[in-house]
Amino acid sequence: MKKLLSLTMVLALLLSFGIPYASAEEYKENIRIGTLADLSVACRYAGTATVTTQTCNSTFNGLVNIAADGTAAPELAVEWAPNEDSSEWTFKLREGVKFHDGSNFSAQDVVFTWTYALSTASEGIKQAISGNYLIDEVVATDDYTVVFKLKSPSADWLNYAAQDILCKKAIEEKGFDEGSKIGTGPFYFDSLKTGVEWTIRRFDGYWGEKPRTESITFVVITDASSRALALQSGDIDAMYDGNPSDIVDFMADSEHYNVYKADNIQVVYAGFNALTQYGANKTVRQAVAMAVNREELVDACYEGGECGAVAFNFISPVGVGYADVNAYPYSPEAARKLLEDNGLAGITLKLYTFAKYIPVAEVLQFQLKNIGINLEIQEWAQTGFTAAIKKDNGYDLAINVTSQYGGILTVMSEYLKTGATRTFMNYSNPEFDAMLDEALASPTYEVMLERYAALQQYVADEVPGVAVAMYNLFCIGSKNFYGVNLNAQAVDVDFTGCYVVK
Amino acid sequence: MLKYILKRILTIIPVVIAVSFIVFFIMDFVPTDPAVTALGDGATEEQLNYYRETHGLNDPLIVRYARYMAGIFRGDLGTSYANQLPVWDLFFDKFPNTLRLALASVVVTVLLSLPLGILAAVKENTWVDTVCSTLSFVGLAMPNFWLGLLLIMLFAVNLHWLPSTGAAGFSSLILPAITCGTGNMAALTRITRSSMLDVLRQDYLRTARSKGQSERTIIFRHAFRNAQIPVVTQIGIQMSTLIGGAVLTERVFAWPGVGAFMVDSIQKSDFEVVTGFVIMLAIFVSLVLLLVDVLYAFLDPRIKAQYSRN
Repeated sequence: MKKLLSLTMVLALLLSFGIPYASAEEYKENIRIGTLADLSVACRYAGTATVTTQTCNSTFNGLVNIAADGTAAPELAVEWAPNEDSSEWTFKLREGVKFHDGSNFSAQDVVFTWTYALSTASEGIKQAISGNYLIDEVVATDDYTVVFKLKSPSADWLNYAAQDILCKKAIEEKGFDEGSKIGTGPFYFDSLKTGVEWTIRRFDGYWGEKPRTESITFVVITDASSRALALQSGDIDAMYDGNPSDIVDFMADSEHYNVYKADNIQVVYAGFNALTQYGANKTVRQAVAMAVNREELVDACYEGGECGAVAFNFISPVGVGYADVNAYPYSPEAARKLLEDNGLAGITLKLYTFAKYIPVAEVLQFQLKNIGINLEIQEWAQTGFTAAIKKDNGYDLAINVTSQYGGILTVMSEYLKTGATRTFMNYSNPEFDAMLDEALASPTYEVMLERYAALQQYVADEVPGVAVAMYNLFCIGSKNFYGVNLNAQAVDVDFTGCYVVK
Repeated sequence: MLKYILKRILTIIPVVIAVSFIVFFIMDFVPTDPAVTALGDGATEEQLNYYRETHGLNDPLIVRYARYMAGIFRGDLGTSYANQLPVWDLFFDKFPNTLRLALASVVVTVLLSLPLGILAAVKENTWVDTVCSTLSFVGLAMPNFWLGLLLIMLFAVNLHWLPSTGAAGFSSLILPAITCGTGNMAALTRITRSSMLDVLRQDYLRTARSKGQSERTIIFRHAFRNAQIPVVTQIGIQMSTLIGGAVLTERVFAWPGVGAFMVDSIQKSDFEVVTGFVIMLAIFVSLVLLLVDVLYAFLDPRIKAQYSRN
């Protein structure tokens, strides 16, 4: 008897080592994320607000997906190839993909997207698809093959191909307002309570790996302090962005919170208005560039560097094709002398910006005072800022942030090329335009990157604006919150893979 | 009495016209472009001009105003530039939340201020009077966004008794109501105190005392009833102010009311929303003040008789 008992115990002991502990992780069905603004539109071509981008990251797919290292992964397209000079790109599309309304995805939807969203003249389109100026024709050769015929070679066309694909059927039947919410992404747009919250729900017909979370509710808490308190009280599972001081506190409390941090693809810059006397004066621009102490600015505005980093280049280090540049070194004495030698000591510059960058403006004001420049700051509303100040045209400088979406040369094209519309700088330099056109027409991606590096150095020398800092991307969650993707190539945070372990 | 009420309702019309003109006039000077709000920064100059032409934005101010007022009288408050929703729908989506918060705040104010004011009056010039007055001013002195954050830290973060934000359910109303209500304590306490003092000095109360009535009956049945009119006036004024939207409280608690939404709309240069909301608020504030006037008639028969005579 005793022998049998001992044998049983030994057997049980051996088995307990052998059998893996079977425990499936359980996930919260709904997670709540505190966000900083209300959602006006759920389509990237209808609005460029951060919350729109965050939502669309989960509800739409592009032909490809650009990873953090700049490489392209298949999404709605499974294969692609350029012709010899990259002026024509052929994409083989994934079969069996459904839109959220149950309709089938095909090449016609790609053609439709690249026709309808090509211009803001189309109803509902407020931000035309990036790369529109390159399009000659988009042709569906069959249901699952699309050919992009470009006006000129584009070695980085894959970056443009990462943009959202709309549902032709939904827009034609339901109109743009309703139809533009329909995508092929892992989540579908479920509901919106204006000013309160909106919810996206897992799409069970998704072609790829299903998310672990059934639904994500974005809760509108515009006040950053309240957002932090809501996270601490457990009313939300995660929050996007916050006061730098709160973020630092969360980082220090790693026992209770997970803080996800990443470099931002957006760069804060002070751009000159080339239409004004001082904005057009390279000596003034050089002096300002030499007067800016970026470390001091980041210390003052971004919690001692915990929430931001210095920037010397209009292009962020996480941007594809980034190259180190030799920017003007910090040298207030040299800056002061430069101004004095050219009879520019004691000038007054007007700077326009909006509330978010007032602290940056104030630090600049202090730093420029050291070299004898008086900086007058005027605050404007953030909405329609660029258009409003261009109409006013009373500024020598303005502070804003670059936004890169689409091709790798987007910032150069949309901010610095003659006639660029996305900025207030009114910069016009035939030499730069020629260099940019040559880079855009590069026969291969490698050549494009080389020319792009040269452009970046040229911009650093010409100083149409002074890049100063990058504010880090943050998502702070409870200890059981995982899966957020801060891939800056997706522009802001991607919550698709988020989950909370019960 | 009914005639009086109808006359007062009709006076709302010139109020609405005056308020709407002032708002329209002021918004015209704001240096932002509704076309840019509607079409976005990416729109070309041609598209912006087309939008301005087709939406009458290039017309003279008086023409635009007349067109807008014609819409008002048809019940059309316009469409939001930012999210393309009817302003009427947006207002009635937010206003019930604002009304709930306003009513709850007034209840908190009344529950705190009336006892303090009555006690201060009854114990005039004693330490009780000083303490009551001081307590009422504590509410006034504290910035309400700061108080709100403190309440959240205590009741939501530390104790987990109440939600920190949102407007779902009765529990989410408590902290915002306390935040708003304590801020209005001082004025109502002082009015109650001074109103009670005026009444307590009246001869008829001395007569009541000499007839052997208890102090409680004298204070609550005789004195307070006659001191109610200024108190009700003050409550009406506070209610009107709160209906306009307690912006800071709504922000701190993410309370989806009118105030915070209007501030967002101003920042987005969404003029249709701002103008429409201001007009609707003017109407509701006028109705609240009418309600206060009608309440007088029920509280004081002399006033009711005067209304009937007029």
